[in-house]
Amino acid sequence: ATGPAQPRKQIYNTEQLHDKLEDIAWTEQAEWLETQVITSDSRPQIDNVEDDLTRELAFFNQALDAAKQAVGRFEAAGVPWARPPDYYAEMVKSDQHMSQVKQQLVHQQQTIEGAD
Amino acid sequence: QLKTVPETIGTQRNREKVLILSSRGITYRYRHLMLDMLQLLPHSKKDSKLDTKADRGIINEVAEMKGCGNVMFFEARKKKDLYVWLAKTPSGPSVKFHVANVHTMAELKLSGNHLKGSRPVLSFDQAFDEEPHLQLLKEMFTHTFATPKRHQRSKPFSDHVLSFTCVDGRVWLRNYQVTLANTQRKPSAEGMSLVEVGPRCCMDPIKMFAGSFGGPVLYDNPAYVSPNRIRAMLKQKKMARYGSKVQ
Repeated sequence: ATGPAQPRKQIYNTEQLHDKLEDIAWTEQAEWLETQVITSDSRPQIDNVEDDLTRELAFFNQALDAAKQAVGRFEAAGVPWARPPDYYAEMVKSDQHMSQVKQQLVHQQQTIEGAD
Repeated sequence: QLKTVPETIGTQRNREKVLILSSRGITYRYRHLMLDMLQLLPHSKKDSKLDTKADRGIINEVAEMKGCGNVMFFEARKKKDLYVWLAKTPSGPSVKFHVANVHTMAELKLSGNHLKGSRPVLSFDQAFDEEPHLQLLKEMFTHTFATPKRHQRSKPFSDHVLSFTCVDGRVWLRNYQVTLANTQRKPSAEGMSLVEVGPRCCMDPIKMFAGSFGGPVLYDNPAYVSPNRIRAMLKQKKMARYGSKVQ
């Protein structure tokens, strides 16, 4: 891998890409509730990908927008979507892990206050 | 024998299953990413590490035995690089990604949490409807990440969003918890916010194949530079610096 970089040959087989898509696609015909896909109608405004703040903000806004649209669709379909407050079930992160997260947050807060 | 046409066409129902497995030599961070994916996809099945590096076709057989139509294969190279294959088995297509900027759910700064097995809202940006290869990717991501309705291990609520954004030719994956304003009695979109749960990663598509783990190339990303090449270039830069000092 020490020689000069060989430029990669671009391959873009649009026709076959479309064919393959047709072969496997079912999500378009399915009811929205089967997939819960929301495609935004704008592209994110990110000038510099290395800029963490603007990049993450753009992702956040896209997701938030999708969440709001999804709620609209759930409500239009009359489907309950929010977890009832008395519904307890296993979460992706354990209670022990979440208490660690909390400790970390408290610790951060304290260091900020201590610096003032 | 698996049918090449998913059963979903007739009834238009989501019955996708995903096989998740890795190669040997996977590092802890990537293993955690894989386990996070298993958590996020209640319709997924895990299999033991794949022994061979050369013959990926064998994965198709494993998927068939497990009754899975989708595969997510984590291939680790040199104990530091991660490649993820996303494939529809047995007849394709498949995509190979180089995955970077991996953060797992275990990280303390990602402070969100959501129900295990709740069905995600999938969010794509507009680019996924505009370019042919991204359209195909969107369909494959949907098959893999959308939890089938009424799946036995799923929960019938939606409290998180999986977002896919295409920036810089790469696909950025984020997972957010949806938090609601406490003040309302009835849940609504008003005052809704998000907290990141993780995992997060950035997937750079390298190649797309017509078959499953092989076959004619449909797409080859000209902008992709392999991590080996990047390391070699950095080394050469250092070499040049040393050379100029010695003279």
